[in-house]
Amino acid sequence: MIARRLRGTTAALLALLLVLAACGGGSGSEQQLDGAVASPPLFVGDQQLPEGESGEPFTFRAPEGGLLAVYFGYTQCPDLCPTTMADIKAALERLPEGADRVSVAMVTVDPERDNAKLLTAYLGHFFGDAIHPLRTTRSEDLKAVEEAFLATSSVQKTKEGVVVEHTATTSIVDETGTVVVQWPFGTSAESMAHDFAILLDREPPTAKET
Amino acid sequence: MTDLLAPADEADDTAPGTSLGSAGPIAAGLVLMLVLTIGFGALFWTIAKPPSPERLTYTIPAGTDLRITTLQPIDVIPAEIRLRKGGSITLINEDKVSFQFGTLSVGAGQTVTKTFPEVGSFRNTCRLTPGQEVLITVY
Repeated sequence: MIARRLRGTTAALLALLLVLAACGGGSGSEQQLDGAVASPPLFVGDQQLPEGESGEPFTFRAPEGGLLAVYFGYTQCPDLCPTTMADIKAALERLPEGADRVSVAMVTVDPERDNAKLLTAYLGHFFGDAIHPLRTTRSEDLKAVEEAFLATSSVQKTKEGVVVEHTATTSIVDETGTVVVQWPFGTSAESMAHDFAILLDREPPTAKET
Repeated sequence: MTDLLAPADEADDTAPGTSLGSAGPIAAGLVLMLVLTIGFGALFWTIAKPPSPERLTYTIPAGTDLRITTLQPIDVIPAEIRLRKGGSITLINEDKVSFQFGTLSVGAGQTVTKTFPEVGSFRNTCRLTPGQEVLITVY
């Protein structure tokens, strides 16, 4: 009788061990992004701006299976823009794989001083060919795109010079034109790389109708 | 272990209680060891398991923008926020306009969650605090 009880007790204890082990390994839910995640997410896939020197319309969607980083800035920016560009570049360099599936778009908020050639050279300095230098002289078009990204900008000419203010957030757009995460200024390259790795590893999203 | 249990089982079938004297203490000792192992294991698992990330949520009620523009007092976000590393702040915007939280935008009707993976202090301008500035300390 004792032996039977012991067998029963042993089996129960082993079952308890298995349950504990299962509970311990049960934290494999979807990984959390370091950047800001919005619900409902912003949709920018219906927005377009002229690209580079060709002026061909560019739609704010990543290539299939890739990601598009979008930033609003200007080439003469002394601090925010070059810091952010350098951080994105450093983040891409940290990725063991998948960096070639990321392209970077920069929308100039100062189109009067940023011509297409200058903007292309600036962006190319950081990211080579995987770039989309975007520029429009139609302020209403720029405002429409900024609104879609919840971004703002202003350019004021003063006695001291030109004062440019702009949103310094980087938006990551997927192939459907959805903003999947936003990185406020100051987000580290490490956090960017962390988010890039997660997003590049995700299942392709369901395409949205245009 | 099986060898130890088998004779006890046989004894149970033939003469109940007769083999208690030989197998009982050993088996009881084994059970005690198992219980202790599981107990310490469970204790270690509980202690070693990282605490759940801290999640702070603030709601921006409808009409907040109007209250701000008409200089009425608001109580949406405290001027100082302390947060454990790895925690997150969620802003639920129930108003009809977007708001800036530092360099982050929260659209009308949107809910935005930002995680803070690193220790540090972040001072940001924010219309949603009485002093129009918020200090976030991540520890």
